[in-house]
Amino acid sequence: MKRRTFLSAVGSGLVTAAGTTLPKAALAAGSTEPIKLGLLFSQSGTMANNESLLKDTALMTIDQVNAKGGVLGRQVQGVVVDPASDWPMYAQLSKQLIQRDKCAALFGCWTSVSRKSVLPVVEANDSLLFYPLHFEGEEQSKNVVYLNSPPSSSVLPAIDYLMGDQGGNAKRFYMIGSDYVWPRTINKMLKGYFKTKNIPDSALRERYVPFGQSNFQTIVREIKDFAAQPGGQAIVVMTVVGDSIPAMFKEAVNQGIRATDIPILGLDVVDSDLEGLDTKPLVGNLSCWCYFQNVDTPQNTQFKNDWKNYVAAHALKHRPDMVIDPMVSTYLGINLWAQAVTKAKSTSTDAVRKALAGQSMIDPAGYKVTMDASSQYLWRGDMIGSINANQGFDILWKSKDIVKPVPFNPFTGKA
Amino acid sequence: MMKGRWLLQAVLCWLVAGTSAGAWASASHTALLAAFCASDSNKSVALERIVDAGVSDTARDQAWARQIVDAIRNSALVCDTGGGATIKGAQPLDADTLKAVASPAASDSPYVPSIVMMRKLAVASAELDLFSAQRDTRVAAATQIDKFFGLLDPEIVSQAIKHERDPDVASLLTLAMAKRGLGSSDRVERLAAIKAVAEVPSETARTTLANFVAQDSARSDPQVLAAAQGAIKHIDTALSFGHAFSILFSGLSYAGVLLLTALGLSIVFGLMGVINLAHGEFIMIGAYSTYLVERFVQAHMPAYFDAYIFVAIPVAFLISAVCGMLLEFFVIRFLYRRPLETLLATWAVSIALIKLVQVLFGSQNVEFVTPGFLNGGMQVSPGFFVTYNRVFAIVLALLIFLATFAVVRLTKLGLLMRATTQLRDMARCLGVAAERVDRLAFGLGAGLAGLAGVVLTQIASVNPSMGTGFVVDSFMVVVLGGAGSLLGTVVSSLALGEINQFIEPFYGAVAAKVAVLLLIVLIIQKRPQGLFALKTRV
Repeated sequence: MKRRTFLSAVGSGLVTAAGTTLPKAALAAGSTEPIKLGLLFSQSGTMANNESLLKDTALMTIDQVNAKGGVLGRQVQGVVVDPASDWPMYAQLSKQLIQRDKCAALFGCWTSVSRKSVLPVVEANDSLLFYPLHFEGEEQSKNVVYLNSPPSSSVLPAIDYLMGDQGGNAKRFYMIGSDYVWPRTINKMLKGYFKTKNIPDSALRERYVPFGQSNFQTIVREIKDFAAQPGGQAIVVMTVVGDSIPAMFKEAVNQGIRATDIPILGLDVVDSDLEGLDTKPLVGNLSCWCYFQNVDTPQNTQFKNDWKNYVAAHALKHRPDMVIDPMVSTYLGINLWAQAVTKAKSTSTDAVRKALAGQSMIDPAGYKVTMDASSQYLWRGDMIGSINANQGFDILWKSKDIVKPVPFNPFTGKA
Repeated sequence: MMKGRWLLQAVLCWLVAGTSAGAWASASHTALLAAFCASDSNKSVALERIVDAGVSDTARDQAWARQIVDAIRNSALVCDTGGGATIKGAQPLDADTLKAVASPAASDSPYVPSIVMMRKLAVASAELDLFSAQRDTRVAAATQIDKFFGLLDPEIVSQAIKHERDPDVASLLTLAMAKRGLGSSDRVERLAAIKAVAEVPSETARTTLANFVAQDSARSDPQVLAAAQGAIKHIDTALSFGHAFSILFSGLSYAGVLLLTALGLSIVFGLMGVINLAHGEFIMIGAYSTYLVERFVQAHMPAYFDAYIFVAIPVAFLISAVCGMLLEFFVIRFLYRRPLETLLATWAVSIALIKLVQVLFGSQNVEFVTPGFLNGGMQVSPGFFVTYNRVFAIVLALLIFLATFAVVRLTKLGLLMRATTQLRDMARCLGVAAERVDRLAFGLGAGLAGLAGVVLTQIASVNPSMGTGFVVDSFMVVVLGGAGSLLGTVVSSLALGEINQFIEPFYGAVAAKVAVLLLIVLIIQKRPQGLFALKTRV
């Protein structure tokens, strides 16, 4: 299995790398060579569904940067590789991108386990990884730029909402996750947080399933059972990822659970996960991100239009009318990188890192996002979305302004 | 502007209703909406008043309230700053008059109900349905009201009970009212409520009683407390039987999936000895064939949409079988008796197929509309809930197994297949066209994998790399069952499925997987030939 995916990844990695080698026209046009950005997103395996969206968003944003004349008078070029959802492959390919392809910076990874596997590589080579996902926090490397929020500014507001009057006064929590670092750290933090809220251990249950699990019969039955115990309203905090998300939703619906009975807060659920599902019975289940595509701003209309046109122009297989938070994060990342390079007048890691601090722009969600001066985390707004019948999210709540990211959470140690 | 609208409304209402009462009703609609839309309003009180209007006698009010409640539920009601409201949709409607209007301004976003509000809306919608002419609608509404008994409006429900002629609906509503009675201060009423709740054991009934017992008011009355505790015990007994059955059932359904995916491999690997790592991709091809059939039926015969899954069965079988035979013709037949090369070649084919499908269909999950009859499930007994898609998988797995068994055991092709695979040279001496038999057998194996793909569309996500997960499980089943024995495949998938599902509730899915793998290692050490070995003289 390991070797199988490994070989497949190497094969496809070589094919795609070869496929995207320099177009001759680009070389002829610029007097100097283009600046290369490594795009480390899986196009096969369990994460392909989501990560291929980010790859194409990155390519689109690079096209936009180039259309405006590139950076420092040079064109920008994305180097695409396929780590095939195989975590060690991310490390290997990131090394290749930095050392062989001489990429100025890397954009990539979805799951935390892939980021953790790239981390030593970017640190050893002193390169920069722009990471577009919201994640468990508890990490701050000078070689990683965190484009999305740590849990203190995304997960905890959502939990607070559910524990409040509007959210139905949740008192008992069933935490179900895929078995890896992100769900485990999130749940550890939540347990610490619940302790400060005087919620007894008996009101918590924590379960993990293997990656790619599609059989949720037992889990859903246990959830029903858990919800039937006395002690107040139960909710599900779901941190399963990839294909497990639709599988879990399908089973819950089939066994008759609705958001009005037991709401599910799906922390990794984005519009693309709802693609293959009939969402009518899922209406009301929640997710929290820094962006939902239903937000009404001119920047968002622009971004959605750009994406639609890009998908049509390149005959991509993605849905043209669907944009998710990590895509916006990727888009922000490349733009902020371009701003920083322009300011620094250099692509060297050290100069870019210095120039990045304090960079800001208006994001499609309408907030003026700002790079933290010291932590390399991005200040962003926060939203809670509620699944609607059209395979999307309605915005239930949003923060007034950008929220300070707190990389190291005070609750994690308390569990 | 406002004045003009009022005037227009009055005129319209006069035209429609023809009486002054009509004009009054419309004015009240305006007030109800304004009450709901006011930024500092208590939305649930406003909703109750809309429902009150909906259960009144005039048909116009009923239709209006129905539409408004539905709009709020679907987050389609857009309140504007002027106190009016619009229902969003392909053709926006004025929420007051239900007449077509221009789209609301982009700056006004719809009201998105919170979870608490959604519960109230569910009850509100059900209360409106209680007065429907359709019995099914009333039953569904009564079930919904019973579920959220704490939120029901006693006046509306008792009014509905009075009107109700159907005993089922009436008893459901009475039960809901009884559950509410738990909160009453009268002992007789409370005892009656406990009895009513205990008569229909379910998880929610248990929650209700358990919460009740925890209250001080219940603890102070020993007779009520004893009755409630007795009722809980009674419900627990019923539930524990249900749970035992559900574990058995999910084991069975997991076994069904294992059997389906392994059956094709048990012919290809078990009988023919070909290590086919592209087996999972045939499953994937079957699933994508189903997808094409689904699209076709939806486009050309929407009336028979639900039947697409049955059309897909032969189509997926044929497509996968043809692909299998092509693979055999171009690759495998040169590699018989060279297992290492077969392994590498099929591995390459597997990767190539994944990439090919990715190019053709994209890497995202494919969207399937589940046929109506496979949606949802049934409460067989308290605590035992059966979902239709799993039942479908089990039944189909069984049917496909029986058909395969019949082909291998009873038909001439099966006989020739067994002869060729057991003693190829002797079979050829006796005039068997061994090459053709090989091709057909391989095609049969691939076709069976395709059938597994059809069933999996209803259970698992369908994407180009879906097959990789199943290939490991399939080899596990076939190796454990004993290569070459179809019966062994059944027994081993049943055993693996049940063991896995027995462990999972206690130690989690990860532990279940580890335990099953360890068990297989142990068994294979003791019995390298698998559980059911084929006895041959070679």
